[in-house]
Amino acid sequence: MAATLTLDRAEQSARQQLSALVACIGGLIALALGAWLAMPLSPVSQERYLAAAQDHVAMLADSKGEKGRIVLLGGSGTAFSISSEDLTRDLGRPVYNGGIQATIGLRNLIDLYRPHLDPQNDTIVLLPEPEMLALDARYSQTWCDVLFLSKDVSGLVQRPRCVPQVMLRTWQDARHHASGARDVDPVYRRSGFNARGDLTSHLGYDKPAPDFSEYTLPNASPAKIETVVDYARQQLAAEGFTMIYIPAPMPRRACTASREALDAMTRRLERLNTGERRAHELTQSCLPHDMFFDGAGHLNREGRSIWTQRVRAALAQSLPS
Amino acid sequence: MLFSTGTFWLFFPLVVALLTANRLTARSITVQNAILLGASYVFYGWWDWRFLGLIIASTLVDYVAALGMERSESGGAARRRWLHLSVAANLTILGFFKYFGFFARELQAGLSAAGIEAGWGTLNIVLPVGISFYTLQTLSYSIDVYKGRATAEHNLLRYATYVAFFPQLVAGPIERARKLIPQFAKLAQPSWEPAYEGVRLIIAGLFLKIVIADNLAPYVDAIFSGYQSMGGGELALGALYFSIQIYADFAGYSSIAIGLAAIMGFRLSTNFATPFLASSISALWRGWNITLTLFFRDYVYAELRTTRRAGKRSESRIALANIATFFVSGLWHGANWTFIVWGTAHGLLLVVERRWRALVRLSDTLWLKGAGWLYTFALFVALSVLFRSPDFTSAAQYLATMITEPGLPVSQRGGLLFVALSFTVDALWYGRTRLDRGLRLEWLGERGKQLAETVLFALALIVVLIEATNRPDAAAFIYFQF
Repeated sequence: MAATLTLDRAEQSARQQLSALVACIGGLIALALGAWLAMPLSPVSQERYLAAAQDHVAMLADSKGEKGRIVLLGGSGTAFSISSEDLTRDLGRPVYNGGIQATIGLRNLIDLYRPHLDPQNDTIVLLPEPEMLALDARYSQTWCDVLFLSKDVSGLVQRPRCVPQVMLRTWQDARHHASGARDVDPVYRRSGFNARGDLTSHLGYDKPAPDFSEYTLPNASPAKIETVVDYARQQLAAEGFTMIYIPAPMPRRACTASREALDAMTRRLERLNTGERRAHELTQSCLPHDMFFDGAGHLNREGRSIWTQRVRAALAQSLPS
Repeated sequence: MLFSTGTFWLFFPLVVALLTANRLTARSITVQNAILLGASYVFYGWWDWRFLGLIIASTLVDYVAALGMERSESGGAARRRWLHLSVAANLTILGFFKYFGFFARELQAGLSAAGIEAGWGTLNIVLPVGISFYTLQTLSYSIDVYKGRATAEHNLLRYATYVAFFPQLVAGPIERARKLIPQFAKLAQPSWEPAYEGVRLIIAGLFLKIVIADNLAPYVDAIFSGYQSMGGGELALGALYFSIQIYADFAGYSSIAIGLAAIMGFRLSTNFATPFLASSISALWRGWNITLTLFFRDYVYAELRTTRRAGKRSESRIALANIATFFVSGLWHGANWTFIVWGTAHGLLLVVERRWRALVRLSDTLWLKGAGWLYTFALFVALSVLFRSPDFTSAAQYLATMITEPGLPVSQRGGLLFVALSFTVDALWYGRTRLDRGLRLEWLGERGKQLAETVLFALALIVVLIEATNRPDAAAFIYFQF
């Protein structure tokens, strides 16, 4: 009898402790999320490169309805390497640069901008870098950071896997507040973008080109590319958007070394075009390595100017008159 | 399927739900074991379904052999033949997949040295995950049945579940038949107490693996791959980091395995007992991979230490048995001379320690314990270089630089945080990753202890979640490769 009572007491205690543990975990998560929502972003977070995603969203929301609008979608290669200001002037149509960071993944980027795109007016130009396809995932740290920076509660509810990342960023942000830190990278910063969404902060730097001899093409499997292309077609083409695909700029050495893989990838991505004609030859995207700033898709001032002209030519050829 | 992946944490609740549904409705032991066996095969097949055939073959051979032994006369030739069949089958599977390439290469090198060029090509044989563990488990069953220490299991489903039980299938703890099979002969009755302890063991295990071992891995990889350009201080750190990494990795796995089983209502053996707090090599081995150490003690050392004819245990016989046992243990860890020398060196150290203890009687003072700890830990760390290096030349160069160019490390010091964390975890645990103990926090009082434990485990889980979601892929457990 005594043994049974002891056992029952031990069971009851274990049950209470397990409940307490669950409650404590829930409490700590609630506390962290409460702090995330209540605490203003630190100057470091406010000025983070990725925080420009919110500015891009605002830019697209504000310009929604502009006649003949062209929206460029891509990663940092698009942000670094194209002047939407020049394209706007040359094409006589409003062009906005939605390029931000490849690790967001193309599907997440489409989700982010979709509410602010208009199928009646907008032409969507897709320039996904290989990284953007290889790293495309519904959950990614970068995507969680976008949610963190925009304090997007509904987005977090849809992606609960981001909760730990948001907690981590909240903790780091609290430390930034406490230390008074303000420093951010001089190139990768929110204020480095202009009003049309182009990154311009790198144009003032005269930096030696990287050596791309060791560059390997990120492995985007055919199945993954198909998934991303299908999603883009379903979300954009099926809704009536005009879509144009242009291969992202690559160092010529990388093009030569990975010719077959790039060709295969480009062929698969051509399904992103809603028109009949191929907008752009892959070889046009292969540029000398000394035109790059710090990465495979990031062009310097000279490269950006040449690439912008090539994009202009490709668009002039493909845009419906 | 790895314990540290999201897939597993979708799979495990499903298994628990099925077991619970059976317990609440059919209450069938057969259904329970069928669920466990099916789940175990899915768990294993997730890695490579083709190798399921090996587990099934091993299960069938030992099942039949044990029944054959049971029907044969005790000590008779027929009984011995059944044992030989079981041992030969298991060792053939293990030998082919684990050692064939090694012995083929060594034979080729030997013939080449003798001026004979052997023309055969080397096969690139994939080592099936967990083969070293489940083979030893089935071997222990056959030997125990032969020696009359266990009865032959007539129910094939029950026996197959014992061989393939997923929490411990791929990296132990290696369970004896007489301990685990009876648990499958009744309906498991999970209760709050073991479930709570199980949850804590899982959190602790995930913390050891994901926070400590996986964070040390990049330091270890960087130091061991670039050791030629590093100073003695960095190399000493590399050896220290690797020792902690492999401990946190394997102890973490064992802790999760025991915790998972506890939640389902099963009890597995303790496999680690704070080995890095030991003050002698023998004490360290009493706390390191305990079920494997006990396997070698009972099935190798015990056989070797006593002469067959006179049953004598001379000191030289015991010394030889120790060295031979650790030689086998080294060989078990991997088909490479570095593992063999690593194991044999530990055997030699045990012999020296035994002789020393017989000659010198020391008091149990704190400073002596401290000195013992230092000697034990330093030797283990130094020998771990053999364990991590791909070959002797690399290990020798590494150790030579480490010893001849001592100095304070100027880089790679970030990993010390995780070393400190590992010792903190060890200091907090009651010395054993077992279910009936909590943390060493009695000084806080009953309520304070409960509160502190709750907060510590909650924080540990949150850190685990943050770390796990910060990585693109979960890292495999190191002991899977053995």
